[in-house]
Amino acid sequence: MRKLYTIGVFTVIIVGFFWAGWRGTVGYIPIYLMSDLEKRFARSAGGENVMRHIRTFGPQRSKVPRANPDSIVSYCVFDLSEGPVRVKGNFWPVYSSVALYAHNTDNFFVLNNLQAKNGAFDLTIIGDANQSIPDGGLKIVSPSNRGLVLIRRFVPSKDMLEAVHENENTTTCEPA
Amino acid sequence: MFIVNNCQFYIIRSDRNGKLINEENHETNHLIYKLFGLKNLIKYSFSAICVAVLAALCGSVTALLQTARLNGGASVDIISEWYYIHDTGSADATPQTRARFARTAILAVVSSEAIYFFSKTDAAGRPLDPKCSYEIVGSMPHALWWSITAYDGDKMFIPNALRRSSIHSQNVVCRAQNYFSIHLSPNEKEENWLPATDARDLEVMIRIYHPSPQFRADPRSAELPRIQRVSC
Repeated sequence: MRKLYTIGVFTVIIVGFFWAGWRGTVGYIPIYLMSDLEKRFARSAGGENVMRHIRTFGPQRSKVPRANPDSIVSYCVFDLSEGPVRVKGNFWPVYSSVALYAHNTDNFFVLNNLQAKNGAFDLTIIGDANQSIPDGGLKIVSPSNRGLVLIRRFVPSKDMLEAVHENENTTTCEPA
Repeated sequence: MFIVNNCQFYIIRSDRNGKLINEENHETNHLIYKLFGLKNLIKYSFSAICVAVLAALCGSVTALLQTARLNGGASVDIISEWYYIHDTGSADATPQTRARFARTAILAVVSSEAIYFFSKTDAAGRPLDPKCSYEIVGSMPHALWWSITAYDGDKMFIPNALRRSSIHSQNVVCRAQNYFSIHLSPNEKEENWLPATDARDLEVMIRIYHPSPQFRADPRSAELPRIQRVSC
């Protein structure tokens, strides 16, 4: 009987710890990779809550797997620890979207140029739904204090590069 | 002083000079003590800790192996040679899907905005070989724009003199209305050439941005282009 108990207890320990190891790793992978991405993006932008524009056309050497060669992007790592962050600018008319990502990689908000009323976006990212925000901006509640704003623009031809750069310059990311 | 002896423990109280004040004998109800006794518990504890650490490590390694590939798991459907992954970027995604996407296609948008398919095989089920020539033939579901992109085995762009990694809805040359043939090949072609030169392994990805509501409602029923091997 005691032998059976021993085997039973050991089986429970093995299964329990196997599951804990599996679940812990699976849960940690997105957070680890997103943290790494946020660090690198913030470094290249010169800090958090600063918009960085990619200016080049076509496939670029990148550490991001399966990157999209047909988009020219702007990005901003947002940090809500000091308060809300405001992201605004004009949509690129061919196709563009502004996507917000939480610290665990969830894409918790996306808006594209067809959905926007006046060809522009003005978002204020907050961490608490009850938080009051300064004037202007669509209030978006982020599930995490840190995350990423990614603006995609579909650029079918290199000839459009100058116009894309002008569009990029209209977009900003800063504390509200 | 607290002394444990198998299923019993004693509390011995003494004064500062060590003189015995009283002694209490308690029988513990602790399940583990009852099952194994103290000597066995110590013996088994070490083994249990080792087994637990090993089991946790095995779980961790299994998770790393499972999430290294995009294909696999409950969030994947197979449509001909294409894998369709749902719940991309979604808060409803399982932890495994989220981890898999974080490793293989981080920053994907939710399926209301874009739908992704990818393939590592041709229509006959053979792995895509960078030395072979393929034709990607068919049409695309209605969407604002779409693209077909070639990647190497590391999910990175394939270097080539044209600096071209994709054919998209604006630069594709169609044979008939919305019907195209894209050449995925190491050898240059006149039109719709997607270079696959100097690649280690090969995979193809379809992005469909701002898909029509009908397609978005049931992407599994989509008729996607087929990847046909022409020569090798």
